[in-house]
Amino acid sequence: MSAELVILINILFYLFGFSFLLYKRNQLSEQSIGLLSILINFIGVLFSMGIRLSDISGDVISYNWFYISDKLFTIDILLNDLTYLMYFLVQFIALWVQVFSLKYMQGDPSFGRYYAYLNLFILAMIGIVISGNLLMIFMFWELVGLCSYLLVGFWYEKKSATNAAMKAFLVNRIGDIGFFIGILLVYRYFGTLDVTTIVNKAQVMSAASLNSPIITTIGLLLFCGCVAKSAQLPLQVWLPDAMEGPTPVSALIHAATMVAAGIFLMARIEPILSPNTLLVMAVVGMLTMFFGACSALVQYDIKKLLAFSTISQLGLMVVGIGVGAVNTALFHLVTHAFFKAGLFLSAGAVIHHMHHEQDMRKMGNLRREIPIIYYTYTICAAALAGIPFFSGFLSKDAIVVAAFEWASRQPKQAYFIIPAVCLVVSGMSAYYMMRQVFLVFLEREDNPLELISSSAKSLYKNVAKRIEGIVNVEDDEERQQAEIRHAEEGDLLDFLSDIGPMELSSIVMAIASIGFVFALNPFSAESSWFFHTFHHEATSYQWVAYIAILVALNGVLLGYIFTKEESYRLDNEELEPRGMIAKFIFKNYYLSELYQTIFVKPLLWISPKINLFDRKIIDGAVNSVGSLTIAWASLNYWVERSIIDSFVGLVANTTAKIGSYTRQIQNGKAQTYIITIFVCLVLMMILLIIK
Amino acid sequence: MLEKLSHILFSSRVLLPDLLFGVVFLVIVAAIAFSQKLDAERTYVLFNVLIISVLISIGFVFYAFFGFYKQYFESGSVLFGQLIYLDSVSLFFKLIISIASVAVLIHVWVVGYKVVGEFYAIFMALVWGLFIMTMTTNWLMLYVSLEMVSICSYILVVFNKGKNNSEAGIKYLLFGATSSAIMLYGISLLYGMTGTLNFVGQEFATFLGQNPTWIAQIAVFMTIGGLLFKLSAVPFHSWTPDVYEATPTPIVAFLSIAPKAAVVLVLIRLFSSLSIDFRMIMAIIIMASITIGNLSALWQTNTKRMLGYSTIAHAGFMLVGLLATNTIGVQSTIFYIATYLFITLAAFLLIDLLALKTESYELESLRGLGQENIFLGLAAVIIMIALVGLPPTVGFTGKLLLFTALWESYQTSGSNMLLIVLIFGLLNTAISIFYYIKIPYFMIFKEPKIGVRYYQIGFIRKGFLLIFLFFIIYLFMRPSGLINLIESLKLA
Repeated sequence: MSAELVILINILFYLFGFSFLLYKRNQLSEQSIGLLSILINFIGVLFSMGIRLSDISGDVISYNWFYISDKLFTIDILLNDLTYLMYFLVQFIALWVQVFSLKYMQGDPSFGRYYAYLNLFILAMIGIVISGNLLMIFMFWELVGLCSYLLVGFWYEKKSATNAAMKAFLVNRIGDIGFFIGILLVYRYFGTLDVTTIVNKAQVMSAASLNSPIITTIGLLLFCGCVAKSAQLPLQVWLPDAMEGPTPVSALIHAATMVAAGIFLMARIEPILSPNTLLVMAVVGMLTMFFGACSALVQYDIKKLLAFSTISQLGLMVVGIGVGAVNTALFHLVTHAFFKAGLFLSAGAVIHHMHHEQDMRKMGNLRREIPIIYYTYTICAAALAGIPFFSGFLSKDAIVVAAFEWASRQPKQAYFIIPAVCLVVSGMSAYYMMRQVFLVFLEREDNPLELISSSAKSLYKNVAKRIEGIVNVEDDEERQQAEIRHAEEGDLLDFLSDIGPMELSSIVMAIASIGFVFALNPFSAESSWFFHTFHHEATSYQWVAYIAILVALNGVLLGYIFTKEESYRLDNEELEPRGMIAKFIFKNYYLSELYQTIFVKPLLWISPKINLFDRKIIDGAVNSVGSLTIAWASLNYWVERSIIDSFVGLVANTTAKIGSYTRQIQNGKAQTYIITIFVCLVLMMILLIIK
Repeated sequence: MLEKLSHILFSSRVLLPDLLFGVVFLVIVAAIAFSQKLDAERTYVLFNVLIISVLISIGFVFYAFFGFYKQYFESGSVLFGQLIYLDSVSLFFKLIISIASVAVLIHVWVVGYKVVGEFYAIFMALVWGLFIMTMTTNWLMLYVSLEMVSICSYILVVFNKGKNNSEAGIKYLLFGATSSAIMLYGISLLYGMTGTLNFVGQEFATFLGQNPTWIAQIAVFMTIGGLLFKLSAVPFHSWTPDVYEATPTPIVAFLSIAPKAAVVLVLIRLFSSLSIDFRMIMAIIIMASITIGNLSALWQTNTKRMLGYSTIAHAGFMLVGLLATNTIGVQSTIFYIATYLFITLAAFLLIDLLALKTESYELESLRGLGQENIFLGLAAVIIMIALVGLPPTVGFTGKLLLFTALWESYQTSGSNMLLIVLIFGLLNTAISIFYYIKIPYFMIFKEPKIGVRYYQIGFIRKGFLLIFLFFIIYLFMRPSGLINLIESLKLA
């Protein structure tokens, strides 16, 4: 089978899954829905692995689609390594998210609808990945936006969920407008929308023409799409709110795949980005990364913290593209997809365990209750924090190195601020991950005062027990021994029997976050298989790696110390942290409120006025034109009635009279009827003779 | 002698598919004659078998012609002496007739008419007669085939055995007999003048031209009387409304297209070799047909009767292309007939489907039916617009081509008569809007008498009507295929 056929069949499977599940969502049982959906996804994963073997690389397959006058629009499927990578990644993560959802969404009345949407999303995401022209990318881009809207607002009974969905949708529209204008400009300038052709044209351009304002404008406009979809600085407000959706959805859409689509798009069209555009991207990415990390520092909501961390990491990827190291950004995209999905899935398991409580202040000590999740979470968090031996270290390090290299090539020292901020953010991410692990899983110590009182209590209890124990020694000892024996035997068995769908998915993601999966030498990203496929030239800065390790470990340490200190004074009832700056950061810099005041409120104020204007003046004009037309029409009507109709009536009446005459004949006198013919015949003869 | 025998054998071989009709006719008659009066269920089976056999035989004719006998009609072949003349044009008209007959049989089945077995035998003979009419250039053969068609039509009209049927049938018969007599008289005159029975030969043209014009004109006019009767053109039209009102709808639908198509082909052949100026008589016939048809239809309250008058008007339009006396005119006439096929069949099917609900063909009974079934409402709009000849339906394309051909002919000849006919045609098209639109108007804008009760029609009925609607719209969008086909026909 050729590769495009495989992809087509795969897409059709998802389409079938979507329509069938949506149609039968209320008839099928949860088991059969889950089984069908996972089966489709599993086949997809198999297909995606099979494609790699067929080894047709760098191919563009075009089908004619439609003409506008003589301009041909095509359906292009672009098959290169990037396509294969994303094609596999999306489906692999989706598979485990679907497995996870089996347990997480159990008992939900809209189980079938959920799986149907997931199928649609995978279809759309694959569509983006395989599209070879910008128009198709845009269409699938909008389709994933729609899926995001549907899934964020999945529990539409909740007002907050629908609001969040609406916000995500509208904010994305803003970026998409820029993106679409960018596409139109590309068509204007390059005369085609085919990505390969555009890239080839851009590669042979001279530096001067690449620096021209139009190319920069195009690059910035296309970047607009990335800004909205990948939650970059001015438009990142939608992502934290999008956490209203089910947690597996957050893992799939808002951490691993859809938000990375912006990065993917930038990587696809990288050659047409001018140096100025790249600089803008680097700066935007840096700011996003920094502000996102700041916000993550003070969150209480387990998912919101992860959302801000996603924003921050996406910022890091944009920096990677901005400094010209596209493949490092892609590498980080891949590692991030695994460990962030793992974090979200583990967080989902925690939330499930806590009966949909998301406030980290109300958690704690979960290490004992759900040990498997604790381990997976810690591994993924370590990967995010950039601890060596985990995947995040490799990719982060590669980006930071690339940034240093880039900065050293620039004319001014000021450019070193970007790699510096990368390092700082790396430390911050270690801090907030440590904080989260501490708050959620580790035993929390109480205030020293309470500690003393409680230890006094337990001492008293122990003493009481002892005294009791002395009274009946034998029983107690026996029981204790039995308990010990049981604990020794059952540990491993208990551990294994705890593994359900949720744990399984988390474990898979955690394994994928370990550094050895990507590179045998866990300190050197250059040796990874990824950079063998996606070529990346880098001079090795060993000291950068050491600094990064140092910063990360410091972050972990600081996080432990500060969180321990913080945990003494946690107030469960408080909605916001105390202190101006903390509140400012917590609220995501009041960006949403700012947009509300600047854009939404004036709109709401002016729209009734415009409505009034429309009704009174424009409608009034239209209505008066209408009345004039009616007056003219009634005049016409009168003319028609009195003059034309009377003429028609005259003619018609004459015919009607003839008609009634023939009718009379037909009422029994067939002979008259025949005579008519002869009369006509004779009349005709006379006519011909006189002529 | 041997030469003649081999010619006869050759001719019979070429006409083998047509002879099949005779065989099927005999088989059907035998099957009916020797089967006892059966109970209802088995009768039903018998009918199905008959339908299938008829369909197969019609299909076989075309299979045979397209597949095996291509070489014989490419350039036109003369068979059985000069009795039969077979060429691609006759094949095209056979196609039209076959589509009409198949559609009518499906119409009978879809709407659920209870017909006796003899119906199929008579129908078979009727189609056979029409086929012969499309491939003759001989007066005698023409007369025989015309009588074959007429006699079968008389029988089909009275098949219901109702009082109205008998009245309509007897009028039809008397009228037909008279027309036939006139035609025979005309033929004898022409034979006297020219001494030949073949009306497309050079001989005929030369000898006819030697006579005084007015005598020749009268003879030709009398001769085409029988044809005009089939075409229901003025002054041989009076039978139409009565017969249409009383006869079962599928048969009417068939009479409204198939015999007319065959007759128009005969007229095309006749006029192509006519050496006298016959345009004035044609112009009078056309104007009278269009005007009387349209103006009488204005006051009708019965849909079938209204469509009867409408066919009179359409007969006039069909002749317009012949009046233009150029190749484009003939081609647009053929186009008009080919498209009118779908329109008229759809129109009669529509009123039959409506009558299933209302059990009446009165206009008044259609109130609000379009609200009760929006599909039928839309179908009515499309079909009636097509009958008027407005876009986006093929009715518009057909009329446009006809009037364009007429205009071109007027430009070259400068004859005022053509201009008058053109203006008359346009005016009448405008007038015809009033009565055609009445049907959708009643269906959609008038409230039903007893509230809106949703009315479903079955899938097969809907699908069958949809096929016609598809062609009505599709041929408007893409007429080029049909036009190319018609242009490829070799007009004698």
